[in-house]
Amino acid sequence: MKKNKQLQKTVTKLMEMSFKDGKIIESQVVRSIKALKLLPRNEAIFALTEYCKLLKRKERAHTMYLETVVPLSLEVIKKAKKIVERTVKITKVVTQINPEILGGFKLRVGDEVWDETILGKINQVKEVIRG
Amino acid sequence: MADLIQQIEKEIQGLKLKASKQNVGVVTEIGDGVARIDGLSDVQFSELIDFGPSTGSGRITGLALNLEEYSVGAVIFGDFTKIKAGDEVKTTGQILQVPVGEELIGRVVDGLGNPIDGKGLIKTLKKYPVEKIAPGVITRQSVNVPLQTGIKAIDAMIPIGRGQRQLIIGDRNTGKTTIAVDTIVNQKDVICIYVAIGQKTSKIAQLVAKLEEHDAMKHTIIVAASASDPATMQYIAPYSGVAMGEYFMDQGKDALIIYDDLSKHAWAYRQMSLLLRRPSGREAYPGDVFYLHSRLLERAARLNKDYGGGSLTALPIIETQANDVSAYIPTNVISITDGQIFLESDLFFAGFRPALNVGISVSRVGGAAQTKAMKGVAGKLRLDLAQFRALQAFAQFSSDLDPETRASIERGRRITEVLKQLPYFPVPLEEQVVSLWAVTNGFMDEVEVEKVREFEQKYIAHLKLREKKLLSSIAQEKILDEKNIKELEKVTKEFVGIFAKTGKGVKK
Repeated sequence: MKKNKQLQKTVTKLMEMSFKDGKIIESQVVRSIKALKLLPRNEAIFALTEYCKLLKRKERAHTMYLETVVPLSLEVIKKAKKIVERTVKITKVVTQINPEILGGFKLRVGDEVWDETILGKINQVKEVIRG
Repeated sequence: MADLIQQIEKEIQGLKLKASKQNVGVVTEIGDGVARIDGLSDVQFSELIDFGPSTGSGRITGLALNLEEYSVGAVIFGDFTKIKAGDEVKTTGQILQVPVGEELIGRVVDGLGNPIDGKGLIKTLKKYPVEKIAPGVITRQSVNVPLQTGIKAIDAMIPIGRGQRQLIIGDRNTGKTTIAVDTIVNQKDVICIYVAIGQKTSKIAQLVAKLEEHDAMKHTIIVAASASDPATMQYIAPYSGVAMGEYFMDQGKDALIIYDDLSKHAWAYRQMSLLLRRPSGREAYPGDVFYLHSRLLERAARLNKDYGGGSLTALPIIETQANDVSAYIPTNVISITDGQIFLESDLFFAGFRPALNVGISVSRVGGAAQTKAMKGVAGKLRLDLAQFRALQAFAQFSSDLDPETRASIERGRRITEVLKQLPYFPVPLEEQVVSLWAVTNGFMDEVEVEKVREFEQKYIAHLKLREKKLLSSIAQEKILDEKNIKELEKVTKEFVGIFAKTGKGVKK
């Protein structure tokens, strides 16, 4: 479908209005979706898809994903969050247990990943040996 | 085994493992060697992207080419069928580099410098970036050393200098590659890089065999991106080749690079650009197709003494459709290069090989690099040929010609015969000079046109046998002075007499 620049701008504005301090305002989201639904069908499909995409992207930028082998205590999670919040506001924390990383942790916020896992270190050694 | 363990221990001894901060993205779309990636907010233009391990020992990499607000369009090098939507990719902070060095000489490599000739790994010490800004004005000097192709018509009338960019243009099957290969075969102190773009693999194999047969692989590197390779590999191959050539130029050596051919390179770039959804322009090529070739060819240079004095000569090849040089890509490359060698299929099928159209072929800077010996004979040759071409058309309508016109036409026919040459048999400078001197000074006027080539062969053989000193003095001093001319006149008259005595092919 051909890009409608004006519509794209409107969608971006609606998305920005749906967030306050990195948190989603649900009522605003509902209002935005209602407004977008009123558009002609082809435009509405495009606008809603874009709106959802942007919402997810923005939410991801304020969500901290923490991958470990063993479950972490709340204290440790809080500490990690505090460190990350020096650069970006965190509104949501998602922890995941992944035995494949062998040890350590993997932290992800937006497009940034801090790899402190044993698997990552093994891969570093592998790269050096391979040249 | 113990050695291997020790080697590995040595390699990882100084390794400091650190927590790495990476910028990642997710593949959202994939197809035909092009991927769209969501994320990668910190990626730079032309940065290398890591797509993860491939099925082989290496990793699949890509190049970020389209940077948009939330997504990145990238081209993939390697097996893109292993990548699927949802895969995580990361930035590397590096730009694409290829191995360079003497170790590559005699090898056949792919567009990324990986060996494909089955002769084992290539261990080079250095890597050069594939994309590099061309040498600036301060570092350059004008072209003043000739690059002998061994082809009489080219060396005499369309001379190429070291550091020049000379286009070879013509329809299919007109002998473009043959000229390039002849030039490679004729080189002794020049390292040659042949970049095959979008060619049949069998043709590349034949070419390698031909070069090996003529002992030319010992100074040649072949960079092959065949028709079966992805468009991305065909796009990057000439840039990899020029990076390899730049290494030798930086070392103060002379290098020659042949791009065979840039039409297919433009096709590959067009495919990539259309898949990357870049706006298309004339003939569906993207807007920056001129810059694609200009930045590539501008890297050919002759450096001045302060910068090592090396040179990189470029011979791009363009295949035209039905002799149409006014198409988009041919006009672009003609305007970028310092001259063109135009090959015509009509001439080729009429038996004039190499099928050069000397009327529209031109070398804009090579004349300054031509040796004095060649310059001396080439001036008269050009005049005689031009006169012949003008009179030949006129003579078709008139059977009764005055003796002067008839003599000009007869001379022209003999010159054309002398300029004919078999492929893969380059002629040394001194032999070219004496042959052309003999024909332009009328020593072959009495020889029948059909016997001119026989006369020339025997004449050269005679000189080699009797006047070796004269030939070597022309070869070394590269000058045809009065003393040499007098001696040549004497020997040539003597030989004409001997040739006439045999009674074959001489007018009575």
